[in-house]
This record gives sequence, structure tokens and C-alpha cells, in this order.
Amino acid sequence: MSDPITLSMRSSHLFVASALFAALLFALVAWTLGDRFYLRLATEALLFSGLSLSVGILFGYTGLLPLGQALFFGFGAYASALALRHNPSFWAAIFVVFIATLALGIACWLIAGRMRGVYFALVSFGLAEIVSKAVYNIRWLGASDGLRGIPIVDIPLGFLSISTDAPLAFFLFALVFVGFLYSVSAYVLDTPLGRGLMAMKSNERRMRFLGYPVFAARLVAYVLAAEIAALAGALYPMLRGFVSPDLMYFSVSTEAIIGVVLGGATMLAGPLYGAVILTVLRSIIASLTQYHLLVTGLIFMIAVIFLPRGIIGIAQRSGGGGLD
Amino acid sequence: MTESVLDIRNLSVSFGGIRAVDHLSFTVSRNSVTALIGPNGAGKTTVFNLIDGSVRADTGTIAIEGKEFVRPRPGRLRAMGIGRSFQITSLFSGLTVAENLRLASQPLEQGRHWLTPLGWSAKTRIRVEELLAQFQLCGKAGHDVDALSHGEQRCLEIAVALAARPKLLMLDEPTQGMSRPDRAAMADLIQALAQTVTIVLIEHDLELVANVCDHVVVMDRGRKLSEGSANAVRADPQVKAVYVGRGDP
Amino acid sequence: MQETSDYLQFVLAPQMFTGLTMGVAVVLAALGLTIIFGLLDVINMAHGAFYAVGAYLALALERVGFGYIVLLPLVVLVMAAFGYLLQYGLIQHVLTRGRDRHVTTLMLTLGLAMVIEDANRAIFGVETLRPANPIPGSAAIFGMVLPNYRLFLISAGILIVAAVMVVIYRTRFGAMVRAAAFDRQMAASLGVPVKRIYGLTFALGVALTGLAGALLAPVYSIFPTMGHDFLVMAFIVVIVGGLGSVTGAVAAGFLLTQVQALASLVVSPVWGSPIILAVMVFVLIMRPGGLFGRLGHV
Repeated sequence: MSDPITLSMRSSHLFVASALFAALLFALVAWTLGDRFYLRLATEALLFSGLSLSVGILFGYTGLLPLGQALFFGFGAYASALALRHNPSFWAAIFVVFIATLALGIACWLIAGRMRGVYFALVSFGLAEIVSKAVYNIRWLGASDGLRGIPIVDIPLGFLSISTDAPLAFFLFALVFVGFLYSVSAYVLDTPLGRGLMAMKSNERRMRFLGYPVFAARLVAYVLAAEIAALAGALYPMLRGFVSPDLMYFSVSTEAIIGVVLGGATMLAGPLYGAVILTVLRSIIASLTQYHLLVTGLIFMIAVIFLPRGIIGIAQRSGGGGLD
Repeated sequence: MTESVLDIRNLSVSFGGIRAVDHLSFTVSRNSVTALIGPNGAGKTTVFNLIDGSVRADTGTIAIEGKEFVRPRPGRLRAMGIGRSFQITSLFSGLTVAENLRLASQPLEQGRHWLTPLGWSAKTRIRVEELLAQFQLCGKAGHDVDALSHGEQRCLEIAVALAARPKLLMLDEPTQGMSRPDRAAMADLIQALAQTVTIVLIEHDLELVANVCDHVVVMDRGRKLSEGSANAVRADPQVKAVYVGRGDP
Repeated sequence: MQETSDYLQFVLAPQMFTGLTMGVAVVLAALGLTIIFGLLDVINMAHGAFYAVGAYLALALERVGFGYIVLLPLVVLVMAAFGYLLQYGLIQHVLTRGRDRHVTTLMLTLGLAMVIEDANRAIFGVETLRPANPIPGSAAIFGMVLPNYRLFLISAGILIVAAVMVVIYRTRFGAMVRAAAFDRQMAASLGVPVKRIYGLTFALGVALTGLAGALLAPVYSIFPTMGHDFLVMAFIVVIVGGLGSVTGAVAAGFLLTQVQALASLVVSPVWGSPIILAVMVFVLIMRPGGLFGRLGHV
């Protein structure tokens, strides 16, 4: 089927493939130069791009803007940290994060699921604030200092094993990991269920009459987004060796949203690009001035007014497709 | 197999203090084309809303294929074999004609198909081709629905209701806003559809009703005023009075 | 018996007084926020930033030499002008984006908030500042010792809140605002200068929250991120009261600040904010429209 939505999805895959290629080039250069710092920075950017992807799924496909998606990112990070401290096994930690996020995602959806627009945004914000403030005050979760002393683990991949302490190897692994998260999202969003989400954005009432499982679809989208964010967050303690409450803060959620808007919400690849570009921009800005919040805010406002389809939207203007 | 596809008995609903539908009863037999006519505000669309469950009745029952419901649910409508089109075009803006039809045809894939790749939904694909041909929208398959003419949109509106092969098709003012030649085409279309599906329609175009419908129910102020064949109803002095008195065509 | 009376006099009442001090400021800000949403459909995420600007502006004017009480009207005027210009120059341009409008304005004002916050940092530095207490001393009322400035704040605040309600419900301007909130096109066709009303309304909203900032500055100090928690509080009040409801903002504002103040007697103050947030989530689940109706629609 050569319908525009599938074509758009294929363009998205192309963008991601190019980004992957660029990332591999970067890794090659960094490796030959013996760099550790930039590889670690790039890995961190990758993890946060996973959070942007999560926001992009909700915003681009269900039309809901989550102001507190960092909740799941931080939750995944904390769950992973606790799991690793208890049992230094990568796959066990991932499993724990997956199951725990399933529970949290469904719980949050029961609260926020019926809401739309502004109300959804504010409830999402409220939930993140409540949890982050609670974590900030709970002593056995490390309170404001967070949890430290996350052990270095080995990631067994059958034929080889990657240490979370090896910058290059872990970067490549994170690349594959985020790529996997992207692939799962892309798959789900191009199934009848995923297509239905888009239709629901424009006419939910009719979808109900057509027998579409509106309730289930929203739940799937919300939990999928939560899992993406949490699994990306799960790698954070492995990278940095610690977690802290500010991983759930509004500023983190905001950055993820800016990444989506900057990259483009109409394509799944947009948030990934946007997050990476934002990270690069911020380090450039930070070296020029201490007022990076101001510059980021300006960039954000400009993107909102002049780039309704984000940076990727500029790149694909000649081709068709996109979600709107 | 019951002869009556739809059986309304004693249906009533009030909004505020106003009786929108007042002890209405009628039957729709299989493979017939029934029209629900009456001046504006007679309660016709409300009847549709009661049948599809958007509105809850105060009294009365709705029987679909012999099974009785006090209040059907909109989400169950398709499963019950009913397709409904709307007076104000209710399509999926921003998507193509083909995608609109695909969304409506998806339920033809019975069972667990929601999370399988689109390419596996062969039945859906075939159905979309059928509908495009039937409604003469083949050339517009890849067009955005917002780019269609009003007449084409009204056709698509019905196609979407018909996509999942319902046994009962409810059409709310299918020719609303259409030009004369388009209306004639629509009349032919409805007659063709009537071969395979039972149709109930709300209409203001009395000529179309006369040409196409076997059975007419006239409503006024929520109540059934008259019922019978198109000619019989036309000759009914009560019906004439209501239309002439209100200044309706 | 004596113990209860003592508790009332020395613990409960002062706490309620503190809650009232905060309440007045929160109500002023929430009024601004809810009117902006009620009329313009704009979710003003920069509302906390404006609150901070009002405080910083008051400080700057004090440094220049104005008496604190005198400069308050000046703050109102400057903030109003600032708001008017922002509406005309910035917000106006995305207001026409159709059904995406809520989200677009939310994100735009979010960016604006970031810019303003850092601008404050650039101009005034990162340290916490505090204007001198303009009305030192305290009065003894009902056996309680209450600071004079706070008494002034509460009385002035309540007067202003009352004045705003009079303007909204009893003046021609207010009628035009409510008409435009109810049906923009209808109002425009009846001769209401909608664009100017938008500008003035946004100006009013910004002025109110700036005033709140200026009033509370001597009490709670000024620092670059002061807008954050205040914004959250304002939003909670507006949600609980009903997005767009003027009465709701007033009622919920006083109520929730009392809840927060009294809650800190029972639990550690750090839990005050999560508790109020939980109240907001609860209200949103139970009555998504808030406790009262929307501007123009009631």
C-alpha cells in the first residue's frame, strides 16, 4: 500500500537510518581519538532522546501533550538503580523496570486517561510533581541526594558482553537500544490500532461507531509511551552511576517537549533528531553564555511560531506525508 | 431469520420539559427502504440517536433482529450490524479517502488483528477497492477528504457507514446540500444498495422518498403522524396540513 | 478550655493569618490566569514569570527611590503595558491556529517563561533579594500580634479582588469581556473591539500577577525561580475553581491556601504542595470542569 501515512513512516525510517549512520561515524572518530567524554555525553543525549520519543508518541499520535513525562523516565531510572543495587544483572533490571512501569503506567492512565487537552497536560504535570516531591522527601530513596553507588555491570548479549563502564561499547549498545525502542513504536503505530489513534484525533465519535476499541487504544498508546520513557531512563544509572529526583522535574519534561517541537511532531524520527540537536545546541550555548535557559526559550518560541513541523518538516517539504 | 430488522415500540424521550420523541412505534422489514420524514424539529434525528445509543430513552424498547435493547451502546453498534451516516458530514479530516474507508472496513478482519501489520489485512484492502468502485471515488482514493466536493463527501459519508457490511443502514439526510443531479445519482445508489441491505433514511427530499422508499413514517412533534407507502402518506390530509401549515417544501 | 482557646489564639489563628496573606496574592494571580484563559483560551505558562517580574520591578523602583506603597500603582501600570504589548506582538500571532491553539499557546508561553526567568537572572543576579519592610511594626488584634505590612497587604488585596470582580461583572468593559468569552464572532459582529479587549484582558491578567509579586516580595523575598511554585499554586487554584471562572478562582484561592497553611500544622510543610496537587488531581477526576462555571458561560 502506497498510502501517505506509510510513506511518511518510511521517510521517518530513512531519517533514523541516516542518523544511525552519522552516529556510527561519530563513534568511529571518537574511538580513534581515544575519547571518553564525548561518547558519554552522546550516550546521555541518546537516553534523553528516548524520553523525547515518548513525548512525541503521545503528542504526535494521540494529540495529548504530557507536561510530566519525565516522571516515567525518572521512575525507570530509580527502579533500575534499585534493581541493580540489589542484583547487578542488566536483564533483571530491565525486566523489573518493564513490569514496574506497566503497573505505574496503568495506574496513571486510570487517573489521566479520560482527560483531554489542557486537563491532561496539567494532570500529567501534577502527577510528576507529586511523585518527584515525594521522592525528594523520602529518605530510603536517597532524598535530595538520590541514590549513588550503582555498580558497573556487564551486559551479556550471548556472543559478547558489554561493560557499562566502556564508553564506546555502551554508546553503541545505547544506539541499538534506542533504535529498538523506535522500532517497536514505529511498528505499533502503523498497525490498525495505531492508525486508529490518528483517526481518533480528528473524529473520536465516529471511531466509536465504527467499532474501534477507543478505550484500549488510548491505554496502549499511553503505556507504550510510558515504557519507552522508562526503559530509556533505565540505562541512566548505568551510565552515570547515580540517580536523583531532578530526573523527574518539570525542566526535564520541558526539554523533552522542546526536542519534539524542534525536531517535528509529525514524524516519529522528529523527536529523536530534535533531542540530539537540542543537546548539541545547549553545549554550544553553554560555552558562549551562562544564560542558556534564555536562548533555549527563544529557540523554543521560534520553533513554535515558525516551524510547525519542526526541523524535519523543513527537510521533507518536497516529499509528501506527515501526520497532519 | 426474523422478518423485522428493526422494531421500535413505544419509544419516548424528553429533554428538559420537551417531548422530543413521544411513544413512537414502527417496524422496519428486511431489505426494505423506510423513510422517516417530517418537518424540522419533529424528532427524526433523535430517533436515530436513540437507536444507536447516543441518547437514552425514557420508555420503550428497541429490538434489532429480534433482540431487545433498552439502550444500545454506540461502541456496540457495528457489532450489532448497524451502520450510521450523519447529517453533518463526519469524516476523518486530514486523512485520505482510502484511509477513511480502510478505517471503516477494518472490522471485517475478525479476531485479533489490531496489532498485526497492515499488509496482513487483505479483506480490508479488497473491501476498500469495492467501495471505491461502488461509490465512484476510484480517482480520488489518494485525495485528502477535505479536498472532495460536497457531493463526493456525502457519498463517502455513506460508504464509511456501509464499509463493515451492516445489515441495517441508517442514513441521516444523505442528500443534504446536494445539487439536483447529485441527488438523482444518490437515489439510484440507494436503490442499488437496497438489494443487499435494509435501509432507514431521514430525508427532506420528498421526491426522492417517493421514488425510492417502500415504506414511509411521518413524524411531527415527536409523534408518529402517519405511516404507509409513499403515495398513501402523500395523500393523507394530516400530513399535507403539517407540511403546508409549517411552510416546509 | 484554656488550652483550646490558647491553641486557637496562638497557633491556629496566626497560621490562618499566614494562609490569608498567601491567599490574597494567590487569588490575585489566579484571577489573572483564569481571566486570560476564560477569554483568550490561552494557558499562560509564563504567569509565574510575570509574578517574579512584578517583584523585581518593585525592588528596582524602590532602589530608584520610590516609596514602596507609592510604587505599587506604578508596577501595575508597567506590567499592564508589558502584557498588552506581549499580547499584540506575540500571542496574537498564534491565536488563530484553530484547534491546536491551546497547545501552541501553552508551549509559546512556556518558552517565554524560560526567557523571562533568565532575563531576571541576568539583570538582577542569582542571589535572593529582599525589599525593606515598607510598614514595619505590628498591631495587636484580638490578642494576636500581627505584622502591619501583612495587614495592609490583606486589606489592599481584598479591595483589589473586589474591584476586579466589580469590573468584570458590573462595568461595560467587563460585559464586553464576558461577551467575547462567550462567543467571539458574535461579540465582534455586535461592535465589540475584540482585539483590543484581548490586549486589555491580557494586560489585566499580567498586571494582577505582577502586583501579587510586588505585594509578597517584602514577605517572602525575591529570587529567580520564585515563579515556579507560585505558578503551580495558581494553576491548582484555577483548575479547582474552574478554568475561566472568576468566582472559582477567588473561592478556591482562599480555600486552598488555608488548607495548605493548616496542613503544615499537622504534617511537615514539605508535604503541603503534594497534598494540594493531589487535591487538584482529585478534583479533575471528579469534576473536570472545576467547582464553578466558566467565564461568560455562567
